[in-house]
Amino acid sequence: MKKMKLTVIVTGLILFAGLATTAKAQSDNHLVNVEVQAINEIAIAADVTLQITTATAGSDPTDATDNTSYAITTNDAGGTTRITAATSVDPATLGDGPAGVDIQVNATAPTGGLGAGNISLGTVAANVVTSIDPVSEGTLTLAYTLSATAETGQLASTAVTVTYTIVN
Amino acid sequence: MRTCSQHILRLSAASLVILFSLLSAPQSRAQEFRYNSGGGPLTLLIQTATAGSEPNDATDNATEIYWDANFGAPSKITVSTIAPGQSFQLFLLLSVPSQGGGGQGVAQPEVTLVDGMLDADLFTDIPSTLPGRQGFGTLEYRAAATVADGNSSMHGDDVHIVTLTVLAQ
Amino acid sequence: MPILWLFLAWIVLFWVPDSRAQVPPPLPDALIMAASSLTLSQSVTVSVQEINELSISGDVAITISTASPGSGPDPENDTSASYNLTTNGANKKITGSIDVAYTAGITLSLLLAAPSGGSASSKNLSTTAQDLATGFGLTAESSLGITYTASATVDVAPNGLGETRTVTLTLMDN
Repeated sequence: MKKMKLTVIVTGLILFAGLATTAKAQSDNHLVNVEVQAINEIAIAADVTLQITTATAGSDPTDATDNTSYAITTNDAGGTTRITAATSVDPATLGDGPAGVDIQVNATAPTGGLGAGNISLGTVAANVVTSIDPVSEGTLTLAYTLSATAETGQLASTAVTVTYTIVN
Repeated sequence: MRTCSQHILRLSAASLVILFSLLSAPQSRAQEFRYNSGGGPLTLLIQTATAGSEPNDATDNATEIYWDANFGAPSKITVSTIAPGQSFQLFLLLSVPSQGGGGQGVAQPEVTLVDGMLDADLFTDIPSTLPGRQGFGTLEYRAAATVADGNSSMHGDDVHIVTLTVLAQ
Repeated sequence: MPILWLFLAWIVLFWVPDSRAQVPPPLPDALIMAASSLTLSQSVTVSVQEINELSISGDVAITISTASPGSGPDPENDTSASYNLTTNGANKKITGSIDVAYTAGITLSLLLAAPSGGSASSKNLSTTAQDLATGFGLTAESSLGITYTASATVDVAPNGLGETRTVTLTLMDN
């Protein structure tokens, strides 16, 4: 019997679908520096007017009082931040008598701080609030009291500037 | 009187001479157009860009062609392409270097290859006489795509069948 | 003898010196024929990969130094940086992150100018990548704005020369 030789030719069909591409994420970066500097800000809301006009017979003139407020922001965390106050004019020299006047302020402390109570103001800065932590707070009371004695004499309207300073 | 074998010998010799004449180079060459190098399938891959700019072009200068434009008249080389569904740009420039007396003609600006285009001139005013009618040059392909064109994953590759023709002008 | 004369005649009539001194000899597959035109064909494939490129210009330094009394420190903006973008793909987005968080109380937010066709929103950066711009594609644009806003609570103590972090923007599929 004649043998038959079967030759099988396998043809590979190669499909080129273009170069396979997959979407690639791509990144870049840069540096961002954030610096926080020391910040100390205080603002007084309004002026005050103190006028002594009355007295009880046999006593020194009646004190005059007035209030305003202040706002503060400080980011100092040293625990020693304080507010001082000083006047532009020595109250002890005011009036045409020998005694002068006394101007006192009682500053409400911000949260975490300590108020110094009624402090007589002068040209030398005095602490009115101490031990202030980092805080931003407003509408804190400044309560003023003007006192005079009979020896003060008379005092025409006089503008006195009180300067408050945050000291770290 | 010649014998039969002598006649056969003469006829054979004459046949050999005639046959040799037919197989030898003709007295004057006909036209010629061929690849000196390359000529096989090419792929131009556009794959890079500088951020903020359009993708960088891809180029290929691997193909060199040779011609003998013996048409008896000034000749030229033209190009056309078929590329169904073309999405990207392809350009061709025939760069013909100085080659002594050969390669005479006028190079044309780069041609934009567009699917189904009419033949466009690549190289013209090839003289009909030697040595200027013979020459060679490089096919400088340039592929380009804008971002607006997208990419091959969207449209597939463009597959061109580029046809070069040398003919009398 | 006649055969010899025939042979000599052939040499005189048909032999041509080779004039192609400056070109290569014909290859075996050369088209050597008399014709009105000759052609060559070549397959040329143009393939375009998907390309995504993003670059950021320059580093940034932001200083927080002011506040209104009674309020926290003022946030500070910086618009000095920009980015460049190229993508030939569709439906992309840009995400952003920082390598390490800032000290507690410091927040850095980023707002990108959106590429054409896309949208952007401001995000507070964290170590987790967040979408900053989305829904764009097929665009190449340069000098797109980057707006940083740094803020700090009053509890953040002054930090000397500051804190530097690496911000990474990534261009990717939406």
